[in-house]
Amino acid sequence: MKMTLKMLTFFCLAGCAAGTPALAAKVDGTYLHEVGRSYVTPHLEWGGNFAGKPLRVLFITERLNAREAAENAQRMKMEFRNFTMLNWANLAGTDVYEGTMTGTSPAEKEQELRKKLEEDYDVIVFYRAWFEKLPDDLQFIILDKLRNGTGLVYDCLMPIRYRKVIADRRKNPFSGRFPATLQPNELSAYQFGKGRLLQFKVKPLPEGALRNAAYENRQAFLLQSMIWAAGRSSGCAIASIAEENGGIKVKLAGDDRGAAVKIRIRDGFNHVAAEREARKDGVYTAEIPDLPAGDYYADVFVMKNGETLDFGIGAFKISSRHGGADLRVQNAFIGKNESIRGSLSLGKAPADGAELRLLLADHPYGRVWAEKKIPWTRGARLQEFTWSDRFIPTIAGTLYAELKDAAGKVSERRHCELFFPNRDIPPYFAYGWGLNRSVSGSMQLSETFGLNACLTQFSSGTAREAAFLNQRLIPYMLSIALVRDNKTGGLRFFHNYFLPPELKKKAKEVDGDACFYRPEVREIWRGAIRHRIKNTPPYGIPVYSLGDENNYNVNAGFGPSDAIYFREFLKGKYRTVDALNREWKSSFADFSAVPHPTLEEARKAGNWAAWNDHQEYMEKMYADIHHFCAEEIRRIDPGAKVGSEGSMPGDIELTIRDMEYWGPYRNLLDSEAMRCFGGKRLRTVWYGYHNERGAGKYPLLLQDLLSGVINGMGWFEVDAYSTMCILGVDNTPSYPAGFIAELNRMRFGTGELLVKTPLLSSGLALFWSHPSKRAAELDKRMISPVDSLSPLVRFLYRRGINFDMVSERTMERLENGSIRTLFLAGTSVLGDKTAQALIRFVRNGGTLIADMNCALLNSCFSVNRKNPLAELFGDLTLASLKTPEVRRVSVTRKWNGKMLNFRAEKALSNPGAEFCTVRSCGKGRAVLLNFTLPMAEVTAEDATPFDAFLLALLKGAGVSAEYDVSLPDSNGMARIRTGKGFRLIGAHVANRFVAPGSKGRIRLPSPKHIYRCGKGYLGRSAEIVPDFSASPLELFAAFDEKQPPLRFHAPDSAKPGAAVRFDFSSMPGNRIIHLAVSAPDGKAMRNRGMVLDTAEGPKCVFRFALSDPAGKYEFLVTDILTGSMRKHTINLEP
Amino acid sequence: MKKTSMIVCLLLSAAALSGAMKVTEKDVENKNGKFKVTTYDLPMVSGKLIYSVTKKPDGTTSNTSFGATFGEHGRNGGWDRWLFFRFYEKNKYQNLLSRIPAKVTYAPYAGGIIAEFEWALPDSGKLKLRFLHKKDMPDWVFAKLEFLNLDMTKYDFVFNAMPGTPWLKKGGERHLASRSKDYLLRGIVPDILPEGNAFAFYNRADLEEFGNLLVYESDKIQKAGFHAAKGVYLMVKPETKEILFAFGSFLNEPASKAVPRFLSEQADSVFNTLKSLDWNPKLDHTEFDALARSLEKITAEDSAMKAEFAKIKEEYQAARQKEDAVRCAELLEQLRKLNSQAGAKKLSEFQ
Repeated sequence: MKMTLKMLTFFCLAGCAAGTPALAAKVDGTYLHEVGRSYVTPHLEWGGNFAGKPLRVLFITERLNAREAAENAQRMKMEFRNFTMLNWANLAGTDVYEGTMTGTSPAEKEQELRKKLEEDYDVIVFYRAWFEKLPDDLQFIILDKLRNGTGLVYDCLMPIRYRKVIADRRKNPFSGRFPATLQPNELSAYQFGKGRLLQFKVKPLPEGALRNAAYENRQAFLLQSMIWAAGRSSGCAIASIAEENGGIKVKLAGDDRGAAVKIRIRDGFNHVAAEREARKDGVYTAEIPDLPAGDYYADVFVMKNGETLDFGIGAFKISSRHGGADLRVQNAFIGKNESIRGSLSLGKAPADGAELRLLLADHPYGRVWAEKKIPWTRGARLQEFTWSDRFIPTIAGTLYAELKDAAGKVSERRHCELFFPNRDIPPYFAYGWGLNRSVSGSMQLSETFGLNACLTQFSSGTAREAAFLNQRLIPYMLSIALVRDNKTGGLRFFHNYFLPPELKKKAKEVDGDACFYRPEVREIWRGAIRHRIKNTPPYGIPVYSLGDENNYNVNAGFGPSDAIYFREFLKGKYRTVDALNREWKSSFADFSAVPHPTLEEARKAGNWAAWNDHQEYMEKMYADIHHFCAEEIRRIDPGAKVGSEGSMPGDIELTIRDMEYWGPYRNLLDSEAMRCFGGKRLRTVWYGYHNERGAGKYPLLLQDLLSGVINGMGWFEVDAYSTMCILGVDNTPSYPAGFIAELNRMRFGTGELLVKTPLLSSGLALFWSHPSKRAAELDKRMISPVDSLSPLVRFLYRRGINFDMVSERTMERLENGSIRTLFLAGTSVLGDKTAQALIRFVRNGGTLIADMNCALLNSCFSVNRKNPLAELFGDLTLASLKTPEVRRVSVTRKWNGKMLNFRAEKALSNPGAEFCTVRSCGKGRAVLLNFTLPMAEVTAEDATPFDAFLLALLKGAGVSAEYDVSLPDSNGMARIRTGKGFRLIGAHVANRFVAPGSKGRIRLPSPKHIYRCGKGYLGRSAEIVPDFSASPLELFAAFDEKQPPLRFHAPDSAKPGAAVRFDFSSMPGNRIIHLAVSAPDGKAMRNRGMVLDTAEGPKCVFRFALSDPAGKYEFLVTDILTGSMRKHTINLEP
Repeated sequence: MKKTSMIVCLLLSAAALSGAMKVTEKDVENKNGKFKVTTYDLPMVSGKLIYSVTKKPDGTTSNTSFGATFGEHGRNGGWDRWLFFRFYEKNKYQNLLSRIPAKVTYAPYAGGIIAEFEWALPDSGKLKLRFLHKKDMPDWVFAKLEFLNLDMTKYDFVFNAMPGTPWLKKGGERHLASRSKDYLLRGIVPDILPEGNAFAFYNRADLEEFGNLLVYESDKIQKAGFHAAKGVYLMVKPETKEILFAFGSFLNEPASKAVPRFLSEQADSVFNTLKSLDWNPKLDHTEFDALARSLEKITAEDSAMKAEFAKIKEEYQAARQKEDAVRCAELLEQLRKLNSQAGAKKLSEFQ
């Protein structure tokens, strides 16, 4: 059959066409493209009632500063569209993160801008977006629009250079309206055809208390630049603004009939000090009121019929009336119990009756929290002060020192920035990746998500910058990567970005043989820490990160220096060469003769001990670098907490030994090992990315908090440029309200409850054998621990059976009687002492269950001729074992008086071996399954379910599923915790099981009074029905007695600045209480809320700022455990 | 014979349409006789698929091979450029597809490129493998493998990768990492647990900075294993009619860093994209219309460009009416080029 072209086309793409597939496939990227007006930030009014139609504006920005469009639009009447580039020099990106989102591809971005340019605008504004990086046709369209009358405002490092466009330069049109100091750098104005072009570079903003006024000034200028570029003219404009003889004088140009001039006077801190209407007397004049010395701005508005015709800013100074004033503090960094000590000195002493008034305001909000008044020492020019006992909730604040005369008038005001370092890590600690450098972004992160710490690459000024944003820096100090040099076999000094130039040179010299144990290499690491840490500790670092994605390669470490230090390592491990010879099957006279075989050489020679020793050497080096750097940090910053995140664990117990923080990627077994061996360290996992976006998604961290593997949240990420930012480009949240509500549920007490309430011990532990994982590479008869541990852990999760872990380093955990049953999974490697301890454990009544082939090697990887656990499992040796094969499993065994039956189609097993043998030893028993669990789990016969088999096995070993759990998700999780007088019962299912009618069942051993945590009383019952219709996590508290409702005492009224005590003395000492507060206008004040643990004290203090507005503050107080709630109102009186 | 002609006709026609697929024919003579080798280079957004058919003088197929070069490392390793996709009877080692020629379709579209292979197997079964490579995600190639009228309990298949180079130096090891386990790919590895929708292929002790990344639907895999004579083979569950894959890679980065990051951070993103892809992209004229509106103005005063623009518009209108997607894609590409030229030319007015 001949195929015609048409048929071919149809055949080729039946149902398929040329177009853009998969728009529906992507995650909705609207938050990366559109700027809205919903997030209103503090601002001043400039042109809300500007005369004429609203300006039609197109903003073209990079993602990082797209918010500027909203900031402009808050201040002046306008209609706007916005377009975001990936960054200032790139329209779009195509990596996997960008590709997942709608609208982010180069084609889509071009299309978006092309479409937006089809509309008419009065002005097009570029904020730090490089014009010439747009496609040529779009550049042409914009310049053509300019030529035909659309204005162009261009703020960018790279100017527009088209000769004809910038041929007709005009004089600065803003000289009358803004002094030079308030104008941006390199300002140039042009006429091109009918259009006006303005190019400039905005100045950086000052830090601290002076920032807001400078930002407001910048905003005013930007708005005026748009008005000018758009060619708008009201017919009556400001010609000049001047300060003369104690007054502001404004000259107007044009027709000022019917016009009025209003003047708003701001101080250098952006506080409005006065508002005046100017009187006309030739020029328009308004008196400057009696104000403290300092810098001021006169915002001038030309009004007519209630509309603003023009506005501008004049700057003026009020001189000191006392010959100058100087504020000094002894130390800008004020510790928790330290006083602020300083002095205000004057050129001449004030009159009698003067007073020094100190005020403390926070960053970035500007709220005033504390005040102190000190009578001025008569006749003195200097007044010292010591200020103890003052409160400020943020890391940075401004200290204002004012001189008040006897009549109460402030004549002098000086300020300085102070820092209140806070290294506390709360019980549930949340931090983000990256530093969001915008004030509005940081405020949103804090308010909506409780994110007040950021892990980020940094420079010596970042901690300070972050402090002003009330973000505590977690510095990403360096990277530890043990990478192989392919030429030398030794170590590269792979990352050197964190080194100063002189050390980069040294790193290059050692590259290829960068063995950490070389003194000169240690000096480089030491120098790196000293270089990176500069200027950072004083700001209060909660934890230092020694790197993201730290890693090591066991095939590295064969350089010239490694040969020396490997021997040192062997000496430390074996102590005597005889001991080494025993394990290596060698006959070296001394350690100096011991070679350093590669892994391949060692393996081929059958020298498994050497093969393992090199890997231990590398793991130790990896751990030692971490510990060395941590110690160096603590030398400089005593008490520092140090760790690493996103990193290879290596031998996790060894790696985290001298560290206080571990934050890896999510992994079932590594996370559980982190829980079991990590103790009270800060343990977090990274969440976010794109995996958690989309309809029907709930935070992954709910599961991990329930399992107990974490006690905090690391969120990837908070950097505004990224598709994965938790905020959109306009700094509104980029996650839906339901998702945020779940994050906040953890933030406001439930997280702390889960972290602090220990898991109920079931008496079961799993043996963690790190060396056995690699032993499995040597011979198929050695099974990997991962094989059985993974399905076992999943089983324990879904059955609500808690477990601990025991390792060779923590054998003492078997000695206190709390563990009755220990599971050995793939434990091919076992030290002799450990073997003896296990035998003692069984003899003393414990049950030891092994899957297969345990203790084939000793801890040095030598093959055991006799199995040290022969007494328990028989004399299993490599000599006697054959290669495991897939077999049908059939278990029929009497077990504790009952028949234990299990059949599965397939499992890995020793050929011919009997399944599930049991040996008694002393008071205990040893069970050898003789098969591994993964295939058995999925091929178990219906009549003998996998779970039933394991439940029966464990029950016979003294580990009961005290709570009978049934969840709609076969991979769900239940976890039981035990608090003082209650059990905390949690259940979690995957997202797809969150649906109406999705329920589980948990049967309790006996009836209890059941509370749904955070919600309320359910009744007395022996059964809980978790309802997953609205959340994947259900949490219940079970009490013997019904609990009294929430009770507390708190005053009904307060004054600004008051510390209001909430007294929960009548509550039991085992409650987590959340205080949520709303302002008089009804808005939730999320980050003013508090979480109290009554175990740490029955009272908590809520502070009102001095600057909090008067009115009724509503408190909703919740006992998280029982859900009992009470409302309380405090009237803040002026 | 008829079938062969049809295939050739299809392929050549596709070549004529796309203008990008390259077809070369070569006569080869060796001790086994004379052969005609036809090679089809199907350029993807980056890299390509290479399909060759060797025929005897009587027209029967003696051999086919199917390779992929996307995610090229700059060396000759990566996804197998000679035998990328292989299909086997279970426990056997002869690639069934080596004697079965494929029907090949190749279709660039506005957002990327689609290439599809279809094999007719004995017992009336069919195998279809469709690749979709998107311009906005050039680092990943997506694929859908369909089993039509096949008893999949009898077959397994391989997407082969050789990170770095096909041959590692002495001591070098091939590894496969899943979320919980690492496997040394040597000899026979009878059980690789299909979990977490992701596998990473990498090396140890040689060329460690190259690797290949596979995202797939692990819940559809009955069994996975490795055999030195085959590679990493996958066997789907009996009820599976189709299964999705995504192919990526990394280079110049230590595997100890790239692999954990892929497994922990990136694989889920790629999987989500894979799962919700539309494999039948719809005809969408939005970009053409928007470009055309823009070009109306830009070319208004340039008679040569105006004429070229008018021609493209006219041809597009005709293709649009016929719903000729391939032609529409070609003309869109021409319009993009014209737009770029016109923009540059008009911009020069401002110099």
